Amino acid sequence: MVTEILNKFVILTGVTAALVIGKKGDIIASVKSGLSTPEAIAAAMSFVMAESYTVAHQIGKGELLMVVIEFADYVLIAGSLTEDKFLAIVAKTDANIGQINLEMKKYKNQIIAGL
Amino acid sequence: MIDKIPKGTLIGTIEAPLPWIFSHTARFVGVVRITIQDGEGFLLIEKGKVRSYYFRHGQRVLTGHAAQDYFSSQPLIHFSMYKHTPEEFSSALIITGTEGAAAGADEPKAEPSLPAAPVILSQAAQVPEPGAAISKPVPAALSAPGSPQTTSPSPSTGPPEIPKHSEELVSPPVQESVSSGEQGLVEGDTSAVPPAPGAIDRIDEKISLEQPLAEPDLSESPAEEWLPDADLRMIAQIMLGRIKTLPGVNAVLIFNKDMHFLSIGDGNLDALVTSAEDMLMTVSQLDAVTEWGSFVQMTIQIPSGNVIIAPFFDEYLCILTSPDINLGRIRRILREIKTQQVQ
Repeated sequence: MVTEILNKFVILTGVTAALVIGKKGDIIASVKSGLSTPEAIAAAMSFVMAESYTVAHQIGKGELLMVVIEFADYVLIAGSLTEDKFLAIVAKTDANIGQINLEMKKYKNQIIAGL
Repeated sequence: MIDKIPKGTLIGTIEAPLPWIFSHTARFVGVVRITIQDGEGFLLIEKGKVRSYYFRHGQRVLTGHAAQDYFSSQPLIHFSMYKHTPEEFSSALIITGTEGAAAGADEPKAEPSLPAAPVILSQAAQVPEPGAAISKPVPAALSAPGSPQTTSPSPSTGPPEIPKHSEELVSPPVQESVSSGEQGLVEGDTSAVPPAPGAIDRIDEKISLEQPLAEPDLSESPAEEWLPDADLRMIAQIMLGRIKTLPGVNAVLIFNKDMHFLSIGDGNLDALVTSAEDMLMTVSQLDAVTEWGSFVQMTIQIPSGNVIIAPFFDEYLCILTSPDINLGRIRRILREIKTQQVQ
């Protein structure tokens, strides 16, 4: 079921992968097209998310909405699902980030329910 | 006169109060071109010392202390900094008639007793050179206590209020530090206009702006240690100031791997820099294993705002914003920085 929902992201223009990643960098579910190093990405993102939570605690009340990492050709968008799981979307920079953001909010509860 | 000043090389454009310019030009030689609504003017600055003040609005021209007072009355000034070569600066000094004068002579803080009288001229009057009017101090009688202009508040955000009459520049009894030799002088303006309300408020604002700014003084930061290049440091400070003036930006800082940083604004920046460093190290690993191109920026969105981290030459820039910030505008500025880096 989770894979079906992740497929809804990959059909969006510019999106190349959608992954549900655990706190320790383990890939719980994924749909990807042409993503060569998902494990490395998952490991790095789990660390970035952990640090982002630290930042969220330092300057806010600890709630983390989203982390967006932009490279020259791709953008990585990560949103928290539960305390120990998050959703990461890999997209090209010409993708509609606003739409991806909306879809992440829209399907968040369904993904959690399917885990 | 503005058009005759050598253009120089643009370093950057920013909005900041006048004291910011003084505290960030310790090594700058050139012209700071100022725009206030429909008026325009400039400061000639030589390593932190103002050599000439000039402002023109329509037919009216302010120079010297009158121009300085007017600039000081503005909470924020929109200006562009243009670096001059020694030749260009010499030429600018000649054009303004301040060549040969001691550096800082036009700045009252440096030379409080110098009788550099401000000049308010109609452009129809043919005395645009500031030096020509310096020998005419205003009679002390003009600064009579209890004159009408000692009251009436005026919003500082309204249209530019260029004093139309010399009495507007007369200091009230409370401002004892201004000598009579520094009072205003009118030439070529025969219209007897009542003093503009708010003349005193502008002076009061000037006094308050001369107090230490709430924001940290960058000139006291360790920036020189890790940004030894003066031009780069200047660009860094201008970019910081420029970003900080955007609506919704709470703090801006520059840091590097040794965690030295330069900052403007509020917030617990030390702790933030530590986390930012760790994240950047991880992102650089990601950069190595993927073919996504170079790292551009990272945004952490939390309910109380955003944290944006981006490369800044050999260092990193971190921006703390409120949640309602226009992220597109910040991204545009970051792209401009990227372009400058490529150049």
